[in-house]
Amino acid sequence: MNNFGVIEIASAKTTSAPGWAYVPDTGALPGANALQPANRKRARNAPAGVTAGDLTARQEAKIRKEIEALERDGGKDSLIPIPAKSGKGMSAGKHTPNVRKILQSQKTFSNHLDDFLAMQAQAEGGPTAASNNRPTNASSKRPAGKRDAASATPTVTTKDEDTAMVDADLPPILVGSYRPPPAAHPGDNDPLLVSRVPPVPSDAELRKLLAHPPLTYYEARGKWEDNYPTRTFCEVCGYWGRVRCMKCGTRVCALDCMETHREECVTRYGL
Amino acid sequence: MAGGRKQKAAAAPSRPQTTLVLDNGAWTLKAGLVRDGAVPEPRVIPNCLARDRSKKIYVASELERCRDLSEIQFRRPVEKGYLVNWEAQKEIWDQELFGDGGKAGPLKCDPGDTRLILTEQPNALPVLQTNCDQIVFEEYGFSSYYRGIGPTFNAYHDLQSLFRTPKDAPTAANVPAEIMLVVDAGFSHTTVTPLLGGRPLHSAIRRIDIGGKFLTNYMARLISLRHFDMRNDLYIVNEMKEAACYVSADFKADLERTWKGTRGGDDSNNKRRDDYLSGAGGIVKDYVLPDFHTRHKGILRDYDPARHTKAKKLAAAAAAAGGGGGGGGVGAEEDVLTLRNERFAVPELIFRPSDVGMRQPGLADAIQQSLHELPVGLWPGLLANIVVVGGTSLFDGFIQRLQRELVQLVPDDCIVRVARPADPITNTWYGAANMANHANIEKVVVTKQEYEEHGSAWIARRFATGLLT
Repeated sequence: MNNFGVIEIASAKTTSAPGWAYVPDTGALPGANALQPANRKRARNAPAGVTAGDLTARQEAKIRKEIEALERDGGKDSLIPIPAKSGKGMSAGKHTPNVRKILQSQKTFSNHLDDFLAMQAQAEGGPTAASNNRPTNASSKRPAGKRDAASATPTVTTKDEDTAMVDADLPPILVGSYRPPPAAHPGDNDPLLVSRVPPVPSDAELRKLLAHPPLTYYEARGKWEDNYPTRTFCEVCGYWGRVRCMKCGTRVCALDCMETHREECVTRYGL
Repeated sequence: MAGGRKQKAAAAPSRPQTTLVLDNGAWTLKAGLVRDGAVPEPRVIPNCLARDRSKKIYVASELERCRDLSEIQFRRPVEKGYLVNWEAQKEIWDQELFGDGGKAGPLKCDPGDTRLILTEQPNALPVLQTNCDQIVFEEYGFSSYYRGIGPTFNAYHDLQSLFRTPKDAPTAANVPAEIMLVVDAGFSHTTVTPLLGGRPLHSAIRRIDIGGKFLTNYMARLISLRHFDMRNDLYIVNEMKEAACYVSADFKADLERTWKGTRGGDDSNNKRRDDYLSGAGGIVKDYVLPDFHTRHKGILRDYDPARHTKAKKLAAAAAAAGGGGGGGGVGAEEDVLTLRNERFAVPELIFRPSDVGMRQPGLADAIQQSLHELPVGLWPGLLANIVVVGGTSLFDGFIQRLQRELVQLVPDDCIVRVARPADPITNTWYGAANMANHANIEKVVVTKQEYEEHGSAWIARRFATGLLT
């Protein structure tokens, strides 16, 4: 229980990998603020007025750790080597430099994501600095181009090019019904029967929508809306979590499960 | 491999007759060669390197030769839906698509005169896209190439027959559906993609980071808490998930039925306890785990209370006689797991990620967020044409639940129709194959010459603008 006042805060944790990675300074992770410990009180001494949804820093950290574990692929983090094949070694020298670099890269997705976020932050902060710092030696021409693509695609700079391609005499995006509308009915104008259909957006509007550049990885993630209280479940049997453990705040459903939980209710350091 | 250096093949600008259609998923990759308008059945290959208990390594389709799948470990080139590790992916592609060394691969594709259509997940990182383009041209030397967002290919199907709409006009063959909304529930995540004439509306693409992998991990955790440790047997847990899990139509009622109740002996509680012990009206199932000697597949069967009480008595007798060894399973010769609320609590996460504390909206909410990015005039069309693809959508009751939740969220005037194609796993592949036969395919692909002339940044921009058909 007593972890000496040390409380783990949420961080954009990156796994170690060969090479290096840009790591965003702060604020790049939406939702990271929500995980910041707001309350350093013990679970049982939670201040009055706390609803069931509010969690302590300890619980937040636990949940975050659990979700990280759930998002991992596979039980252990052991790397399975590529099986060595006879007669394969000679072909290794044939790759182009780009390909060799890509094949040898051991970066994981989160490394790439960190790089991308850092790049984005840099592009937003000072576009001139980014373009001036471009390496000029010939061997790294391709990475420079890549960096260009990385910083240019999320922004709207490519948009001029897209709109230039749109001509006025393009076929309409949404054509009407193939069938002629049904015959008029005397009741059509009855205000009680009239149906209100929102107007279909104009072609120009639709083209603008279609020309929208792709969102970035984080922008496309569904936004969390705090409209409804979250449901809590018994950590032993999975029924509604109706009561809390006095020691650690874990939710259980009833006495049976509480006793099962109590047997293993250890409050470990860092948990 | 050497195809990248064949300048002759690239110099001949003849239109390639063969198209390799490749849906490179995280769990399985779907591949097939489309020639002259004929669409064959794709090969569905596990996209992984696997290592079993005896440290033997299996590459992709070799996995079916593996006899003992317990504690098998996987390495996947596709991480979070995006192709990240090319070292592993190249190994798999070389073996499965192109023939490795002297041994011809099952697909026998020659990249030099083949067009490649490759799917990717929406909102990929530009770096990964560029890596992919470079490998495709510089390493394999495909003659032309199109990289498209996976869900968009689902537009190349006869959508209205899927919804069994009475046809008012013979729809022209092989034209992308005018308007639809694709929900792709895959291994890594679930995405919502509104499409207009086969082109994505980028501003409205939404993603929830819950997919088959997350659900399998969650199920493994629940089972490890309640029964025995299966955190290293994710392959078996996945099979169990596929066999046993379903999306509950009434979560509260199902949860109520599978609860053992409190202590005490009043009437309602006794009734609940009886219901619990007799199997909660068919919700409770037994799963017989594979032992890989006599049984290679797990079996799902109805819960039989008699078997359990008898087995318990036997175990108690054995424990009493032997004086220990109380950790034994239910039966002597088979390991049985009794699945109760795990059966529906696991897929419930797609609709309520907050149940595990994940701060993301449920699937219906994500669809609504996507709709709110678009003009209201498009809502009726999108809501009436929702297609669910991806292996995670195979749970029983998935589309019914989604439809019901959506109806509650959207305006009353909108008709909500949710459909799942006959095979949601290969639907994207078939759509891409149909697109390969489309007359305008030459307009969207990028040839090797163009790549060599303009470079990868140009390609990235070109593919980002989407398909113009």
